[in-house]
Amino acid sequence: MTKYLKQISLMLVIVMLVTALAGCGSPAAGENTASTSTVSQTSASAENTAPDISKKVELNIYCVGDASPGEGSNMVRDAVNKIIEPKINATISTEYLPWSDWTNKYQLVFASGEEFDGIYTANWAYYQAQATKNGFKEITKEDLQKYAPGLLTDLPEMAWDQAKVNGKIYMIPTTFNEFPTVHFAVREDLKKKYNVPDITDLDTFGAYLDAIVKNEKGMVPLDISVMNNYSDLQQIFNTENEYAVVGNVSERNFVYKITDPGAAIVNVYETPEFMDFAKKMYQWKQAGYWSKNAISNKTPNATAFENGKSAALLTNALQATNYSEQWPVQHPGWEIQVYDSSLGKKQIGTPYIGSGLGIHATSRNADRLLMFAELARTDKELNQLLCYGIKDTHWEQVGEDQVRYIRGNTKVDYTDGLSWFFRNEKFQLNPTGVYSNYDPIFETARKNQVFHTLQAFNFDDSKLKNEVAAVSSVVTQYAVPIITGFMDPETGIPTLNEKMKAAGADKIMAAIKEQADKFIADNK
Amino acid sequence: MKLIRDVFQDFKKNKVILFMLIPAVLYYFIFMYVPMAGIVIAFKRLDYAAGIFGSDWVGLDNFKFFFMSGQAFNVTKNTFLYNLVFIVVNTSLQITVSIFLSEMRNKYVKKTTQTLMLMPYFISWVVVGAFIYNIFNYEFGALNTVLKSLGLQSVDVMGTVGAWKYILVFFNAWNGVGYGSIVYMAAITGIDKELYEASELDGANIFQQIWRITIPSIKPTIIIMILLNVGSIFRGNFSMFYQIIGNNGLLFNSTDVIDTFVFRSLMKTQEVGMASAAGLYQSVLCFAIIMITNGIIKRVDSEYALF
Repeated sequence: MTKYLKQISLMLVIVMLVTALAGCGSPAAGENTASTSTVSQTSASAENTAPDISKKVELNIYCVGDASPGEGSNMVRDAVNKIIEPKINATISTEYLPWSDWTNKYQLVFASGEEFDGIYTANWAYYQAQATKNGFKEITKEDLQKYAPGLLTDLPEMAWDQAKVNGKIYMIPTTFNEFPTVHFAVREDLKKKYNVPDITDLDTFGAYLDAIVKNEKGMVPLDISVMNNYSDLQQIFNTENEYAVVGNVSERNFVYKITDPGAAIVNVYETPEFMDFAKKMYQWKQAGYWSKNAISNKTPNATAFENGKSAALLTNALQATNYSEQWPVQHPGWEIQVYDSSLGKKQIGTPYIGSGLGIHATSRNADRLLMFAELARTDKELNQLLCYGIKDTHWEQVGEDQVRYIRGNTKVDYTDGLSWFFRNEKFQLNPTGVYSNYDPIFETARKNQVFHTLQAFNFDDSKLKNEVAAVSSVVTQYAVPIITGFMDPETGIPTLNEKMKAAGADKIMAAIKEQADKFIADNK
Repeated sequence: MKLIRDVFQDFKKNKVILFMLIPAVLYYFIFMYVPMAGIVIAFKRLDYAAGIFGSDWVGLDNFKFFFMSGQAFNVTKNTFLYNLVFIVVNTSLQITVSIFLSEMRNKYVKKTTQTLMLMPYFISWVVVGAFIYNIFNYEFGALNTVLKSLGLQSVDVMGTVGAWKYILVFFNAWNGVGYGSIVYMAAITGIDKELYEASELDGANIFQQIWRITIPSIKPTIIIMILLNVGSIFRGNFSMFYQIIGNNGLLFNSTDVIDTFVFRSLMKTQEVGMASAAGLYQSVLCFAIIMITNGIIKRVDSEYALF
């Protein structure tokens, strides 16, 4: 008896150890090889024949941003599936990485080895970082030719060039008439109440904020959250000086002058203009234009504005259309107006890679996802469904090329992360019934739009990861409080520049310059 | 040969007990030993396509960023000092509380107090961060509303560097004291009641009882608990520091710990290898300090040492 028991217990131990080991190590590796081999098989077999779509698949797509508050997301997704299923025998399912925590989760969905097919990506949404780590599957021109030839003709060559990281394409870009310029959105009703003149630049904007601080005790004039909104202030500074961030570097201080065709890279923190701007921000903060809590505040400016806590909002012209439509419905008596901050300066458009779709490296349905992307971009009905929602439920067409959103019913509203993947200039409609400065702002922007070779340039920081990490931490500790007026620039900026040097900012700058020069020479 | 036979003999004799040990051994094997292989990430540049073991080796390159910024010493010092203060404050409060509670005669008061003190432990730091923000909010916060109604000047806590040391220590104690005191209460319950009765007959008062009986009896527990805490003295409580301080750059020089510093540096580049390198750095420091402390205790009184 004891002998048996011993044997049995020994057996059990062995079995448990083996299962434990098997459970830990091998499947991950096995799965990887399995998925890569299926992908290569399908692409190999497709070389001869038309794409094989006999097997029904579900495409899992991650969107950045919140889902619509009610049923809106599901309604649109079902409508999309109804259109695409007969055509490519596939359906989509969507997951959302909400704004509040997307920066962490974006990284996690890649690191965790989760299986999904597509994910939103953009120059501001870790496109570079994930592409260099092979988080995305490369999209070759041959693949496109085979599965999505429509995309090749629909997107300009420039767009594919911008998407290149180390010579390889990892995303399907978008074409979209948009400008990153940050404008001033204000409560026109309050502005009229206190007889503030129209806003044309920072100083007149300051006058409006001043009127609020003196008269509206329950409000913060510009209730920003330093963490969420410092980049808006920096963007205003960049517009004022005709600067654009170079090479999609994660830190926004390395810029080039958009009117200068050469590659003169500037570190803005070292310019006298930045000192002047920072001094103004310091005065503004002292004057109470934003709260002393802003540095710890986590509520974004837009939310504060929506709740009536903030009297002004920094936003781009297009985003503002949503706000000016939706919020006056929620708060009767409100009037929202947006004022141009561009001062007639030259502006650069949002790059093609300002939004796009990346294919996950381990996706087994890359071919079908490409077919879906082709449909979504080139089929007018599907494209508008994705961008605006269901016709006559979420929006209605006005005249030839205008759209009026139907908003304010939180149960069905479509305000979704899914709407940005496939924006196509050709099917874009102009919003109507929005704030009255919409058309002039866009007219000015188009009139002053310039193009620059460096728009398509992507900085390769793979040799300088340590420097980039060190600089990143210096920026949060010093530059962010300076831009938002929490640190006296007279003493703060010298410290900032000293710390930046120690962290290797000069090395980064030299590398950017070298790569940018080469890029301009190659693309003459 | 004899050794092997001895081991087998031993095995045979205690097989039931050894059999019962299996779940624990397996647990440690799977969740503690197997993941140790992941340390290699600290020396690699992770490439998702190549996987953990297939990625390129980069030597000590991943450790550089931490030392380059000149903040390494400062954040290491902050981590160590904060944890040291946390250990001292929390342990002494926990012991005091557990002694008070065990001396309490009214069962209902005792249970209610214990429950109320335990509760903060279950409140997420995210929520605590929101509390703190709303208490110290300059315009509309609870503190300044009270000050204003008393006719006093509002205080700008968010911009006052010196205040946060105390705020952090306070909230850490508030969070951990109730939970930590459970261990000591269990130890006190285990003390032989006859000791107290005998001392009462000898005329000892309650303070003498606490000093001469209770504290010496729970001394082994205290030492073990302190040793366990010392073992993670270079690990900052990330969720606490991050939720309370957040991205308030003005406070970083006095409140930044290794974990928050690393998080901030790598948010943009998202390099897994560098994060692992920082984790390994902490582990090595923790390992050194636990060996040293345990060694000292072994010298002084080997009975109390962990191993």
